[in-house]
Amino acid sequence: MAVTPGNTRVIYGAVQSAKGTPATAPTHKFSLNSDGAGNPGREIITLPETDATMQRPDNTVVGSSPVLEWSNWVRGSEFAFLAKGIQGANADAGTFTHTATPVQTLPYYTFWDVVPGSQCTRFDDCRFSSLAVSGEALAGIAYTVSIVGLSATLGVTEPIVPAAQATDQKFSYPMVTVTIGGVAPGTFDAFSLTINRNVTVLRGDLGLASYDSVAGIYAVEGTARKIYTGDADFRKFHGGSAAATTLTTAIFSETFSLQVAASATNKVVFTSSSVEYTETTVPVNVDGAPILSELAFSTKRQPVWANNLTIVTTNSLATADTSPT
Amino acid sequence: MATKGKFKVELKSGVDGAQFQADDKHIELTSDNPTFETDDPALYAGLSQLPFLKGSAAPTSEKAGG
Repeated sequence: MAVTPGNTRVIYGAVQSAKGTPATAPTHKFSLNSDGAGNPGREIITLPETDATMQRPDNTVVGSSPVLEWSNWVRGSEFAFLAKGIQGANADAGTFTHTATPVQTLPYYTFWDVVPGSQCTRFDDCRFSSLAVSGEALAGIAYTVSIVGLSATLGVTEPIVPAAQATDQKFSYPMVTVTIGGVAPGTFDAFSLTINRNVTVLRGDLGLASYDSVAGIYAVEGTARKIYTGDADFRKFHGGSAAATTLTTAIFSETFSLQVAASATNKVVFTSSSVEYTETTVPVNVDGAPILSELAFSTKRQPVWANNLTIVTTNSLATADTSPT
Repeated sequence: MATKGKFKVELKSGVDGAQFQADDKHIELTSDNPTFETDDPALYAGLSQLPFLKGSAAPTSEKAGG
C-alpha cells in the first residue's frame, strides 16, 4: 500500500443554511501550517469496579466531542469567513468590505477533514469556539481556529470543490500597524489576539451526537511586546496616566486598532473602542539586550456590543462566504 | 417563505448584504431581500444593535422578506 505524505491534509468548510442540514458543497479549502485538523473526539474513560485479579478495568466510550483545530497563515481571501464564524454576524459593502460583529447566536458550519485520497471525516453543526491571530517581527501572521461540532461521520465522499486552496498573499509582520489611543507608536514588536466564545455543548440523549451548542461569555484577550522607550505604559497601567505618580484603583483603557494590510483592498482590521490593560512587565535582560516590555489586555465591555471588537476584512470577494477560488 | 413577525430589521443604506443566525437558520439579507422579521424580542434586541441593520418594533405587513 502506498505511503501517504504528511503535508497533504486540508480542511474544507461551508456555512449551513440551518442546524441539522449539513452543507453539501464546501466553499473554502484551508491549508494547515502545522499539526491540527479534526477529531471525532470519542470520550473514553475507565469505569472502576471490583475485580479479584487486580487488572485495570476495560475502557468505555461515554460520549463524543467532535472538534477541529488548525492553524495557518492569515490571508485576506479567507479571513472574512473566519471572522464571521467567530463573531456571528457579517455585513458586506462596496468592493468588498466585510464587517464581522459579535452576536449571541453563532452560525452552524459543516467541515470536512481530509487526507486526500485516503480519509475524509465530515463534522456537522459546527460552531466556532475561538479564533486567535498572532505575529511578531520577522514572521508571518498566523491564525488558530478552534471549532466544536455536534456529530462526526467517518468515510464520507471527499469534496471535489473548491479544487484548490487560496493562493493570495500570506500576511506578514511588515503589514502590521497597531494603533492605541489614536496613535501608532511603531514600537509593537509582537502581538496576539484571541476571541473566545466559550461554546458549551449540550449533549442530551442522542447517542454519540449532541443536541446543540451554545456560545457563552464573549472574551477578547491579547498580548503585546513593545520596544521599551520609557515608563509611560508602566505609569498608565498603575497610575492611570503617563504622568501619574500615585497608584489608582482605576483600570487604564484606551482605543485599540490592529491593522494587517497587504494593500488598501487586501487587509484585515481589528478595532475595539476600548482595551483594558491587565498586566505590564518590564523585564531585566542580564545579557544587556534592549528591553522589550510585555503587555496583556482585554477588550472592555461596551453598551453596544459591536464596539467591543469589530473585524473588517477587505478583499476581492462579494461576501464573507464567497469561495476564494 | 418570508418570516413574519412583530419586529423587523433591514439593511442600512450602503450595506449590500448581511448574514446572521436566527434560531436554527442562517439568514442572508441582500438588496433584493433586505428585511427580516421575528417575534422574538431578544433576537430583535440583538439584531437591532448591529451597526449594519436598523430595526423597527412596529407590526409589519406582508411585504416583509426573510
